[in-house]
Amino acid sequence: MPIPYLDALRARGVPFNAVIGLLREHGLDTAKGWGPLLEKFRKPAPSAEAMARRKAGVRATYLDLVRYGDKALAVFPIDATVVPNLTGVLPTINEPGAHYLKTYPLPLDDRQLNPLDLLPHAVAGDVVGDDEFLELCSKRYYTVRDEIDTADLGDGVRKAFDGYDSLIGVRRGVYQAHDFVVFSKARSSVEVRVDVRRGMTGKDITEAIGHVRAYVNGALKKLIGIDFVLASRQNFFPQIEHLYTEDDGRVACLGHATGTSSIKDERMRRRRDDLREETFHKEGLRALGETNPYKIIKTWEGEFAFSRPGVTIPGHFSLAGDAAASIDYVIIDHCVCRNDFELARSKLY
Amino acid sequence: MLKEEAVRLIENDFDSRPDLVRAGLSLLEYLYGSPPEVLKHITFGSLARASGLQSQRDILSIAQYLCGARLRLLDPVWEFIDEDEIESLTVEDVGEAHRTRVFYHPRTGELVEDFDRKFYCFFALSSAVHGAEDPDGD
Repeated sequence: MPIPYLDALRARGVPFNAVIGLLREHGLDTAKGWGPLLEKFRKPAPSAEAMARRKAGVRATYLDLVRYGDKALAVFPIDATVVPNLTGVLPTINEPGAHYLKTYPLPLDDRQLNPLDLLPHAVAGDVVGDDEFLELCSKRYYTVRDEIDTADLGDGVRKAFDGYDSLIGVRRGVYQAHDFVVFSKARSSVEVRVDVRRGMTGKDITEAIGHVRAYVNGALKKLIGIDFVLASRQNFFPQIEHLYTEDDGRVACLGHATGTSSIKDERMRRRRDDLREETFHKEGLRALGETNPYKIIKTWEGEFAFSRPGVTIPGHFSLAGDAAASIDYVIIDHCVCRNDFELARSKLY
Repeated sequence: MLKEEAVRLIENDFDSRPDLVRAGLSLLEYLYGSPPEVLKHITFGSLARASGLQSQRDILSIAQYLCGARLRLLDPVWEFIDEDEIESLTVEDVGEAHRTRVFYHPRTGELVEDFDRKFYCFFALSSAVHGAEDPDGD
């Protein structure tokens, strides 16, 4: 039935416009919000054929957004001598007893998920084109900030917060992450693509990548007898300059430190606009001649009018101008299908 | 639209308010005299500085007039701003939200209880001024 897939997308915090865009592409109903959308899908379909189309379209939307939605990407170059040993192996890694298989591809519910640890577990393998996929699921935390209505608090507590305009509560949310490990023979690399969502910090992302890497290295050691197949990672810091100077796409944001002692975090109001064309940015750069970038967000036209794949290289201003600076993951987001993701990835390596 | 025609309209339509005529003419200098690329995001503050007006009501009156059919020099632009997120809204989105008192967050798809606080209006130079191209074209 379609409702569990839609509920799962909602729980993942998937961008609503991506869900609506894909449903529309499948010829299905849309709405302005989750509430009215779920109401429409709860109503019976007019025919068995329409119901079958609805189920197929919703499931395809779910699978595409789980696989190609917002991810942090770490790339591990693979030694040429190891490539033949690795070919065909990743998709065979499996754990028949993994908890996540009880409901896969749908997520476990909170009651089933909460007692689990944070380690990843293999749930599926696949070959798509030249890429060999391994899918892993794990429990993952993210930070939620909620505004608390002081009217709901007792008198004493409310008085203690007199003079404050608003009260924000911070709590930990939990969800089931779907991570993917992708071996590309053509690129001699293994990519670790971990699920990301709002409220995850750089530390959370680094930890998630570390867990997946440890899992895969352990499994490959058993299967092909090679230690640390996933060893060093590609450094994406040099790609910031490359992405800025390549004249395709739109630079939506650039973080940079100037020789005149300022730190700039410049961004366009819309992802589809280009900072390189913006007067203040252009004139400033012309006046100085050069600057030291540490962060960039760049976007491109996607497969569909509603998708706009983007790459974020998330540096800190302390890295600006550092010849030895290293950023070992990037964020690829606003993708809704394989072509979107491949487009963004192809801009990196 | 030619600047001279705009001057004539303002002098005629605000003839009982010489202060608004002065303010309107100052705004015309600003709108016709600035490069179009710096007029994509005109705030109420920018309009106040350019017009010399201090009364919020008068600034709003002039802004509404310049967005009207008679002398369309400005386009109203709406945004939903929630912390660091900015989402463009159409005039129809805003109208529907105010009419129904229901608004769904464009990214999360969830109901937003106090959306009025998060709707922001600014202005962009209308294409009528210089026959400017649609800035949204890819």
